Amino acid sequence: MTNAEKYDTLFMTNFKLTKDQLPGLKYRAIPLWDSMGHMTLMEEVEDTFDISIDTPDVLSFSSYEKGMEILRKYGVSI
Amino acid sequence: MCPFSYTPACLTDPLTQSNCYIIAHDKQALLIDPNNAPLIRSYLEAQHLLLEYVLLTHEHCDHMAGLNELRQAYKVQVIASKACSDGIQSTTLNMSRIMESYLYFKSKGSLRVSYPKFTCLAADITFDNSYLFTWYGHLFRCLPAAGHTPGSTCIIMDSALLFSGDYFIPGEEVITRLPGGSDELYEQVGKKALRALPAPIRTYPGHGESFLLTQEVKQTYGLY
Repeated sequence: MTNAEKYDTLFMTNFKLTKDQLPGLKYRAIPLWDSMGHMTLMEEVEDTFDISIDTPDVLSFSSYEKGMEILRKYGVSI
Repeated sequence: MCPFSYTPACLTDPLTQSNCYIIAHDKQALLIDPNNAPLIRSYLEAQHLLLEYVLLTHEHCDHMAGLNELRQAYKVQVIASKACSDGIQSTTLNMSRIMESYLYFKSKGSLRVSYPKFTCLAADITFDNSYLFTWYGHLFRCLPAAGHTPGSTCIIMDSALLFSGDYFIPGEEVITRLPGGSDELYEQVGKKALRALPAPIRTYPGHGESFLLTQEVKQTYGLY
């Protein structure tokens, strides 16, 4: 599985979405991506990519696309 | 036995608003949820109390952030469900790993603090099913109620006081979406345990003020 596929799977599993619903998805745009959903997503992103995301980046992880940008900052090819 | 009017001391952590309850007998003390060690130590010292036992309602860090320091300062025995004991040893399950961000979101962006992640050693006494414990004539019944977390436990003292942890927090629904939480466990285990609690009973929640838990209040939580 590629990093992009792993990343998509995290969103699809956590937020019960299909792949075509991911582009453009923003924090709080759906009920499951609220503050608690965000916490779970962040932990799973860290575990999946074996990184530790700094708090400012947790807070600015505001969309599906922004998340990929942040992961690249941590050396994840996506 | 403790009279129904007995009121435990309540210490509220200013950061997380979690409650620690202290019960004294002469110069000995037992506490439930060691939320903030400096706060607790100040109280114990002012009251000339020696801490003997710590009981945990669940494994989240806001309810046991003071445990490590208290264990260093006092020769205490820690009592918790096995799942809670496992949870306090994990930065994920004890939530300290995400607490900094959690506090930020919960405060709607007004609270930005450093909250280093941490773990604790296992509890000294653990249980899988209900656990009975006496302390200077007081009877404590620890009743596992998984759902909010795997290790969530309700503690009843002298059949008169209920320490409910993060269940029955005034004005809040039961949360099962934080680390370790499970809707399925809450439906299958937690609700069953909460339904069986005696009512009315004076209740001391993990956050907020004490109140009288009645059957009517239980019903507002879907516990029929």
